[in-house]
Parts: sequence; C-alpha cells; structure tokens
Amino acid sequence: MNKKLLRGSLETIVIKLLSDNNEMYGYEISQKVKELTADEFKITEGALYPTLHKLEGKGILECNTRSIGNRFRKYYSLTEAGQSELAIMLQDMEDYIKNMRLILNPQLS
Amino acid sequence: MKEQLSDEQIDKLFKFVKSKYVHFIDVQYEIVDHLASAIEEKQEENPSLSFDRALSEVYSRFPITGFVLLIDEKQSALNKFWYKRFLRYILGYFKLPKILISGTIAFIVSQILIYGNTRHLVVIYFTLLLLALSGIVYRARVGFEFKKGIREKYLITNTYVNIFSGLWILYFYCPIYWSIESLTMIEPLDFSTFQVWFMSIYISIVSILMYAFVFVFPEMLKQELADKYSHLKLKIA
Repeated sequence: MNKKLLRGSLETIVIKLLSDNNEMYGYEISQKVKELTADEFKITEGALYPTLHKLEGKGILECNTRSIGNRFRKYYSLTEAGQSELAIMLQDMEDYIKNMRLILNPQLS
Repeated sequence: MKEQLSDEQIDKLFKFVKSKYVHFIDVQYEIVDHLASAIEEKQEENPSLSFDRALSEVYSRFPITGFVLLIDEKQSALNKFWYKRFLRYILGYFKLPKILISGTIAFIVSQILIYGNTRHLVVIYFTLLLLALSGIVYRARVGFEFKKGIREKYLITNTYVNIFSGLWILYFYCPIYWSIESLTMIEPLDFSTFQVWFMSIYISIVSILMYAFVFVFPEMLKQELADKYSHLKLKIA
C-alpha cells in the first residue's frame, strides 16, 4: 500500500472509526485499521499521533484519560463538530474515489 | 487475556521515553501507554519475546526523528486550542450582551480624550500601569505562571503560559501618547478622531484582558486540568 495515499486518508479513517466505535485509544485505532483491512493498511505511530493531535487541535476530537491498572490511557472521541465533519469527509472521499475510477477506468463510465 | 506489563516495566518505559527527549510528563503518559499496549500485543503473539526486544521492535516503527514530530504536533494542537479559547473570549466582548461593557469603557475613555486635558492622560496611563503591575504581582503570588517547576514539566501548562503570559506585553504598548511635560503643564488634548477611537478601543480591550488574565483564563486552565488531566494530580492555586 502506498504510504502517501494512506497518509492522505488518515483523518477520514480516524473520524470514521471513532464514529463507529464511540471512543478509542491510539493503539486500538492502529490495530482496528489493520484488522479491517486484513493487514493491508498499516498505520505507523509517526503518522497516527500527529493526526490525532491535529484533529484535537481543530476541535474535531476530544479526549479523556482513565486509569487502566498501572498506567493511564487516553481515549479519543468525536466532538459535535467532529460528527458534522464526518458527513463532509465521507462525501468528499466518495466523490474522490468515483472520480479516480473515471480517470483510471474510462471505459466503465 | 493479555498480560499487563509490571510496574517496573512501566517505569522502564517512562525512563526510555524521557531518554528520547520527551520531557513533558503529560506527553510521556500517552506514549508510555502506546508502547506498553504494543509490547503486550507482541508478547501475546510471541510469549518468548523479551521486554527489551519487544520495545526495540515497537520503537523502530516510529520515524527516525523518534517522538519529536509527535510532540511538535501536540504542541501546535494545544497552541491552537488556547488561541481559540482566547479568541472566543475576546470576541464575546464584540457581541451582545458583553459589548455593553466594552462599549461603555471605550465611550468613557473617548470622552476623556475628547474633552480632557494632558493631566487626564497621565492619570489613565498610570492607572492602567498600576492595574497591570498589581495583576502580575497577584498572579505571581497565587498562580503558577511564575513557578518554573510546573510550567515546564507539562505541555498543557507550558502552552498556556506561552500564549497567555505573552499577552501581558499589550499593557505596556498602550498607545497613550503622554509626555513628561504633561506632569507640570495642563493643556487641552488635541487628538484626531482616528486617534481617539483607536486609543479608546485599545484601552477597552486591554482593560478586559487585564481582568481575564487575572481571573478568567486561570479558571479556564483549572477546568481543563480537572476535566482531562486529573490523573496528573496538578494542584494549581
């Protein structure tokens, strides 16, 4: 999988997963993506956390920290602004895929 | 059921993260949990894998710059967060009902600048200066902004101080054009309409900020710490 392509879609992936799962922690998100794509998409930590922090800065995500045994874990969830952002992002992604198909397989159109 | 890392191993992870130049405690917590989760997963898949080997494999998935990018992004996210809170607060004074407060201050100042004399200008200047200095002294006594230990250990407090404390400088750039002669000679003021309104609005905003720096913004921080960082057990006056 081309890493640049994946990086470009990371915000949409994170927002969609958080919308489906209510709240998740960083490592859980990376594992969920691996699981859903049968190991095809591997999100590196170096890409995931900056994306999470960027979305948090934009007010799309919020977090809360809870104790899990001998350490603390930060859970991310979507804010109200994040919920409305999701619809826009999914539509943008659908349009992008549709248009890419038209370019890559013109005979299908 | 995954076996959790021991307290000693968690301590070792904190030391490891610190050795990779992550000095902020709140950021260390997040990275340590990530590393621990990944190590536990690896050890579950391969029980003979040692802790050190698993850590080195997990760390190799981070970019060559280690955790630097992660800290930068986190810092920029927190800067944005505080900027937004600050802007939202100050913009509130340009809308009803708070505009009645900012408008009244600006109006009173404008009337002094239109009908007053040089002595009035000196009084405005030194009143603002005195209030600003009292504010700084008050926060230095009760707040944490001047306490290096807390400020520099946590990214959340560090970004807050960088953004809010930098704004104190606004007080000392107040565009009140008084001269030393004003202390002895009383003369009518002769400002253009633009100067009068610019000074009035500036002084109105600065007065509101002065109050906010001392009483409002520190409360915002306390609330944020209580809501999201209670695990750090930070005690802020």
